[in-house]
Amino acid sequence: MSWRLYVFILWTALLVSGAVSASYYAWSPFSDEARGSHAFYGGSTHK
Amino acid sequence: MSGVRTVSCPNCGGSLEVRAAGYSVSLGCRYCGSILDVSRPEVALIAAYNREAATFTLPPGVRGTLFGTEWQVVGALRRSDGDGSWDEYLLFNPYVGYRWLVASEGEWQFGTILLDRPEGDVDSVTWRGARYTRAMYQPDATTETVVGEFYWRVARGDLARCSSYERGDDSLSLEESDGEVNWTLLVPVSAREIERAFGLKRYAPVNKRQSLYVSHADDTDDLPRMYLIATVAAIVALVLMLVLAGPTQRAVAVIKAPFGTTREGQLIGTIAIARPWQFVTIHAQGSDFENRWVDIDYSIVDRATGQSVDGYGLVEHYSGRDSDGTWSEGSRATNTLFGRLPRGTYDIYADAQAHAWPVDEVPQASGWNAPEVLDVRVEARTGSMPWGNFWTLLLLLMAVPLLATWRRVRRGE
Repeated sequence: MSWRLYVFILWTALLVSGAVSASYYAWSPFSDEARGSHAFYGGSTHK
Repeated sequence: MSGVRTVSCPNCGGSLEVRAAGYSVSLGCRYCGSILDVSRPEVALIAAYNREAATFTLPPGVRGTLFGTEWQVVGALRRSDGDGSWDEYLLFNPYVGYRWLVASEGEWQFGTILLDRPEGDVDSVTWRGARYTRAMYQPDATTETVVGEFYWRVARGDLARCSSYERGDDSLSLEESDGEVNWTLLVPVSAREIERAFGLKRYAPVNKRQSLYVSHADDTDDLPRMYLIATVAAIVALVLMLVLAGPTQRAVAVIKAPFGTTREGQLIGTIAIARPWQFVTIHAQGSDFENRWVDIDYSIVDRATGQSVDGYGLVEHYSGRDSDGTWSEGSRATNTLFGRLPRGTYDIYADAQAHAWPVDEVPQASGWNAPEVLDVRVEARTGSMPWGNFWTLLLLLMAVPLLATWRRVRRGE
């Protein structure tokens, strides 16, 4: 097994544990609750 | 070791020892870096170049015991394939002969020159009953730096066509140059073993590049494994994320969005967060309107504390016709994701206001002179899956093998 594979396995473990932890704590950088209310410009952007 | 002969460098006059006298043809001067032809009685100067370039982990003269035999490093080459470089060390023992050590990226292989040629075709060869499969990477190797002595005439810029055939961790290397064909059996040796054998305090390879023999073979081996690991990890993460997202509860209502004014405090329903933390998604689906949009402000209010978490949703749809023909944009449906909601019971409220485009006037409903109202179906749901997290995870997992694949393709393997 190459060192690159070892590093990749560590990287994978780090990512999976991070994603699972984020799910447990219901955290996501894509959640919308922080978005400011009433900030909409309104209307079509077409041309 | 025996067979040592002393010669003088014709370039600088330095006194040099030929450690494998009678075998060596080329010798690099340790004082001025010149390459000498030591096969002739009168030592001839082949070429001179900057010796400073010769910075090898195992300099010529170093001795070590590998596989029960004491070896002396008599020569070192730095070779490249145009994309990266690696080091090759020529080992010598007067009773056993020559062997090779190939080093790159901290990985080593011990090479034995074959006297009996493998048989086969382009795709695979057989040697002593074992079948070796052709590796994908088949580079041309150019000699960049020469230090020490060699049993053939070697010069900077020498070009060799290389092929590699693999069987597990072992490989057969074929080199063709100037009509000469050489086969070498390469077996992996751990860096620790090299450290022990040559008394290196800390192994620090000069070249952090892919090895011609080792790493490209590893690339071939470990890339499918990397894809497999990434896929399995993504599936495991997906299952765990789905399990951690649940359980699911729903609250559904149809809210009214009037034009010109905001209708506030419309109750969608009540949901309970059953886990310590959960996501909540609010899905809004507008009715079949055109050139309208609806701003929706959500409030998820904790019954126990009265605190609310706010969010915003927008349903919109526009269409028209211009010089390019008909067009449309926007979506009558939208999702708003709420995270970090702790365990508890929540009431969900929505404030909604409708707008018209291009002029934000108040359309009147026919007949009753009452403002038009748009209906929006709103569904709040616990147990939502944070798909953004998952797609990011998948991207980061696959980025490494995809990058490695791209590098291989770029090298033309």
